[in-house]
Amino acid sequence: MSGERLRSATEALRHQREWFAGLRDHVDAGGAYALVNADTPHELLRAFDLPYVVNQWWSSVVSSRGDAQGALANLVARGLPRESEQYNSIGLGASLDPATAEVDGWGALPTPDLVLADLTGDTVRKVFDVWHELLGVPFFAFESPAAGHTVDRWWERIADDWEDVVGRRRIDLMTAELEELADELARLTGAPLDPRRLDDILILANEQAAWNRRTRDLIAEARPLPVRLTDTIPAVMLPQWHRGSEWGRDAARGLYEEVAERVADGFSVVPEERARLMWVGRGLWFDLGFYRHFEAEFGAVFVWSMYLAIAADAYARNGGPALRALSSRFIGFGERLYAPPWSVDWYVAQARQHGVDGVVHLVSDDPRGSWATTRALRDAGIPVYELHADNADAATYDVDAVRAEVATWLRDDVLGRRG
Amino acid sequence: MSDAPVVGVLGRGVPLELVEATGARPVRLRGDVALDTGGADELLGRGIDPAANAVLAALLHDGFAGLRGIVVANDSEASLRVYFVLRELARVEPGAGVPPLHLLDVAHLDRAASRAYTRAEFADTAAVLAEWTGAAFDGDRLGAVIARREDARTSLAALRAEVAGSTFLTARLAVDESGVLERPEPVAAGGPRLILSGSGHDAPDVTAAIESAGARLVGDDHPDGELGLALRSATPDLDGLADRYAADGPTSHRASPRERAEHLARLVAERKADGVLVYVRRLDDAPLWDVAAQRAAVDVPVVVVSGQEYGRIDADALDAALAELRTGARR
Repeated sequence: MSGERLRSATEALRHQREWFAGLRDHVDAGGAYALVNADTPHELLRAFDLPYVVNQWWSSVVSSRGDAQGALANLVARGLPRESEQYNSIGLGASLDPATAEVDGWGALPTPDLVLADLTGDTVRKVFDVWHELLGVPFFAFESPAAGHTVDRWWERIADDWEDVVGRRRIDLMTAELEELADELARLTGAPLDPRRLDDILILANEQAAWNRRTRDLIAEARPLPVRLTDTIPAVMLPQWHRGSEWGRDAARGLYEEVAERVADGFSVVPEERARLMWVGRGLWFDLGFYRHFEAEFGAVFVWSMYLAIAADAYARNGGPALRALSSRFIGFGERLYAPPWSVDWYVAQARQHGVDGVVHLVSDDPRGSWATTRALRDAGIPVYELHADNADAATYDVDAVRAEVATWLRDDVLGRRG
Repeated sequence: MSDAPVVGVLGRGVPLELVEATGARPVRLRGDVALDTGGADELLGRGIDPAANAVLAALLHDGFAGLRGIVVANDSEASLRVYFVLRELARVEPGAGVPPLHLLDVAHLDRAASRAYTRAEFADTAAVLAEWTGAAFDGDRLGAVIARREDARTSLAALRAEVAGSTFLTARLAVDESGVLERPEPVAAGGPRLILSGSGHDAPDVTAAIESAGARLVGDDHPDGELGLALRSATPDLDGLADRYAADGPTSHRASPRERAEHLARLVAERKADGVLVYVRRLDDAPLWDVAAQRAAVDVPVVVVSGQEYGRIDADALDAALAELRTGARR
């Protein structure tokens, strides 16, 4: 077995540190920046050369440095809830107290000039409302329109038929919101939107998506697994936060080339691979060792997480007016991951494409639920272990107990079913 | 009305006027505190407002009996998740008997695009309801129903200050279903004058318990009480109705903490309240984000009773909360 890390992951992390340091310098010199929710149209900010930090990325940084509990305690000190929207509120919490704002190895998140979020669910907006109401940061909100129509095999159609797949009415709504946001960004940056720049950014984002798709397909086909999840996640996600940039596109291409090189060289994570596992849900940021833990004893490797797969399938948009295409990328994004049948049909298709032997499904105390996903995968003949935990809060997570339970499931339900 | 097909409604944004105008009888889907929610828990999980599980449990128990269809408004994560589960249940278990479903999305941001979107959603809903009932859409009939129902709503809103909490809630729930106000009797009651904030209520059990413990609920800002009750459609037509539902008051699920706090401050002053009781169901987290701003906006105690189960309020927690409110302490 090899512990060698992907050059792409190392480079992505290096770039992220350099970029963040550059952002802090930019702010120190009087420059503006925005804090944005993950599923919002960053590309429009890029078209205005307005730097942005993705809220969930910063939350993952704070968590990975063991500072999440302090951040959550800050919320409580302000009369805000500790147990709600933890994944999204850790960054806010860390920023509420200068004493806890410094994150080891990264520094502090500067106060943004704008926060951007979609009004998904009941409480995401509250986090950004607090940025505005307690810290005085302007908040631009997008509606989170929900629709009753569904489309079979959306991943095969969405790149080209996005008006139909996503729905014209919802696209009309968000396009109008983007026009309003563009006016606000023009005021903030002092320059109007350059439509050609936006077009170029969308082309680069499409190229990035195409490289991600090639990488996903390559990993799905390769035996044994050539690259660990814990490498592909940062190698994909950090460039995703730079979507529409040449660096982002080149990083996605670099990842593909490196994985292809590994496949050509016969590189394997576990040469004697015995079980291919799929991880459904957000990443277990405070226990990344989980994903490697079952390699030695069981030859079990995690071949799939949503991060590369959704980057491969959900982002490309071809044709049409730029703001409409951009809108369609984000409308219903959560449905494709968390609302049946969009989500469950995709998970089953992905499991089949990757030759998955079992699924570990993270089930948190949140509204996403688990029934439909677990059922669809089991109906497809794939064993599922439901891991009940919150991916951002280690306080109630028993590492040893969880690993022991998964090991039992692997032994009995995955490897054992083969006889 | 009694022979009219029954349309189940879930969520604050379902236009009851439109349901009635297309010849159906709207019946609010609600839970039953006596029912076991195990089956619903399996489908929805336990990571959501238990009111959602209670509603789904009641539906599964009754087998969707007598429902021509169900309209769900995207007024909260709970309502939306129930819709997703029902939709998937219909897909994977056709024998479950799930009736036709329709999701109505009401956008609440104060923008022209949001209003246009909501108007289009209402037009779609009118067409769906007409298909279910077989009655063509009739604008004049809708106008008459809007006028009658809004007269009843505004009359009820005008009584709020003199009608105690659970009596008012009962009347509120009834006027939604029947469209007619049966004037509730004023209730003479002592005890601290409280505003009830936090989670919604689809039955008066919790409000009755609070009042039995010695408080008088003189106002509320939860989604099922007086919030938005006095609003009227600018025009008695589909667009006017859509605009009214879009601007139907700052619920916790769709408004900012500051909006909630400002509304509460006006209510506290108007009703000369002695305090605010924030009742929050387990996992209905939105109201918890409002509390800090609410406390900062009013000069009366704001006490929170959280982590509650559907249709219930823990007696010890309630007693402690009322004791704090009486002493003027803040928790």
